[in-house]
Amino acid sequence: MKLKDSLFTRRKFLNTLIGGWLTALGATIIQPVIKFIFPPYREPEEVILPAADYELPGPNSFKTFPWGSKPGILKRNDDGSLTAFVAVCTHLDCNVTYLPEQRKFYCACHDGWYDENGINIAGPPPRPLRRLDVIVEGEKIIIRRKGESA
Amino acid sequence: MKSIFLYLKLILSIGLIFFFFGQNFLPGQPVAQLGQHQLVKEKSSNESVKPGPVNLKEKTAILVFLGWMWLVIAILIYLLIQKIREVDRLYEIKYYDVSSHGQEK
Amino acid sequence: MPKQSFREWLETRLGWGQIVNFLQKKEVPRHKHTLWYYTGSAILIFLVIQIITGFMLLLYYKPTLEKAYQSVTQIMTEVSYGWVIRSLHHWSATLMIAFVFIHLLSLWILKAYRPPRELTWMSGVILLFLTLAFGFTGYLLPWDELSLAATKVGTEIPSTIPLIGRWVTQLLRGGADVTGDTLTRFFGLHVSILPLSLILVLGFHLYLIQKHGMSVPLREEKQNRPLPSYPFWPNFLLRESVFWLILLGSLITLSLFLPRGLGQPADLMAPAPVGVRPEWYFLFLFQTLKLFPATILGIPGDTIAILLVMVAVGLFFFLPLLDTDPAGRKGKVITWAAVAFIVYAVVMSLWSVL
Ligand code: FES
Repeated sequence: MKLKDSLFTRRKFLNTLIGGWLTALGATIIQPVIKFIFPPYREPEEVILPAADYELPGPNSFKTFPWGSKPGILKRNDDGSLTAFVAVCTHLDCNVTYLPEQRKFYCACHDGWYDENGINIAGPPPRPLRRLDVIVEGEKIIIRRKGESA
Repeated sequence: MKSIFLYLKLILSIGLIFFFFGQNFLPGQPVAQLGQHQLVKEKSSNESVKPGPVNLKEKTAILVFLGWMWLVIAILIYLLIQKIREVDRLYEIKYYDVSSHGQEK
Repeated sequence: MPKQSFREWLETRLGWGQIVNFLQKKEVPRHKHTLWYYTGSAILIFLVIQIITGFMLLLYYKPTLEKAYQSVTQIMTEVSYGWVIRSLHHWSATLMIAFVFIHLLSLWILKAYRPPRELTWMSGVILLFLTLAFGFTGYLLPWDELSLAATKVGTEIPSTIPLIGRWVTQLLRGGADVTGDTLTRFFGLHVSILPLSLILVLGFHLYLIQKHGMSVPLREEKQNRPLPSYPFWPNFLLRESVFWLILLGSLITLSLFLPRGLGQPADLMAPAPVGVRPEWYFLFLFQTLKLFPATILGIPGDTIAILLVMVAVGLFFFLPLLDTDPAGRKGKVITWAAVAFIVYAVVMSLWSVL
């Protein structure tokens, strides 16, 4: 039996409508699912270190500390002030180390170099090391995200 | 013919606008922030964890979400009923017997 | 070649047209009990939701004594929509078990297990127990007070079985007591052993349903006239999808309005919390066990109770073989047994709640 054209049109029309609204429903539901699978981002607001453990007597001495799940480096400058860095290479996330004799940060992964202020000077690193704020308060050394110290 | 597709596009785009618009009402980040707060409370008084919306904003977000979802479901059900009528009619006139597969999606 | 559409290209490679053809030829009979055919696919829908939300929870859950409770707390308070996903997993499990019961009981009353569908019924009973095992193992995983207490009781019950009881309990617990080892064991069961078994048995069950087609109730069969029917695809499936949409909407609404909570963390040394109770689908068994006296004629009451339950399970499993005369007196008694069971389960559950 041959059907009239109008029926085919109606069918296509209905199918498109159903498909469209199904997509809308699917998109509504998939959105929370996608948000769920991305883990919450948790960088510490601040880290408090006991000053006694981080005396760092001489200029150019340094010590590492945990900054969330990353290493940080606390370093005494020549003028006696303290500077803190996130000790993670800006190239591909390797942990860096400080070489006091050369006054440079070194990344072994792809031979990346930073000077004592954390500025990238040689090798692949595209940006300087991330700096953190340091506040000394009596017995405590407070390390905060840059620009968030009140 | 042309007008049918015009209507179709109109309805679809209204649906999509609602969908994106509706997203802004969804409880996303607020829940996470609220979580931090709850976690602190949990540690201090060792309460059991109570899930669900806490402030008015989240409650309305949930209501808006549910309203939108049921609207979509209602429209889909209406369309499906139309489709069911159509396939039942096709079956009654024995349309499937003569047509080869692939004709009917 | 250039004229070939993408659809034709796929068709030559996949041969899906045959499946569509098969589904179009598959007739679903229409009668006043057709509605019960929908319960099976409702279970499948919830199963799919369980698998998806289960995968999602697996991304954050940590199955160890130290971390289990903490990770569930993290899911519920820190992860975006974490409480919603956990709530969905809980409610979908609840509804899935409810529909498994409805499905089985309706088939019992309609006697859909009549030859040649005995094995379909038996595989269905196995699926019921797998589903209950999912519920039981999943209940422990959040590792809060209630789940610990319920698991202690639940794994202690088999120990009253004569001879092998202690052995079964130790096997379930992974030791003499419920500890972190039990948690690891239950986690393995819940996410790996049970799902694989379920898929195997379910495949067998679905194959048999395809092979034998839908069962028609006795009364309709006896009338000896051809029943009206429609094809599975698209007429029946479209009707089912209307039902699925309603179920999906109800599930999401329930999960948002009645989110699943989390109690105090489990403490292996603490006394059992007041009002400890299993999930609703075990309530009638729980209450039955409570009612048995400590000893009957010198035999421990628990032992008698558990043996009775085992006999009942055996009868239930072999129901198609027992019901040899579905249309006769014996068949009627068996139908009424189903009704009696429903009344019993409801009364017992209500009693234990109130
Ligand atoms: S990761 Fe440090 S140089 Fe490449």
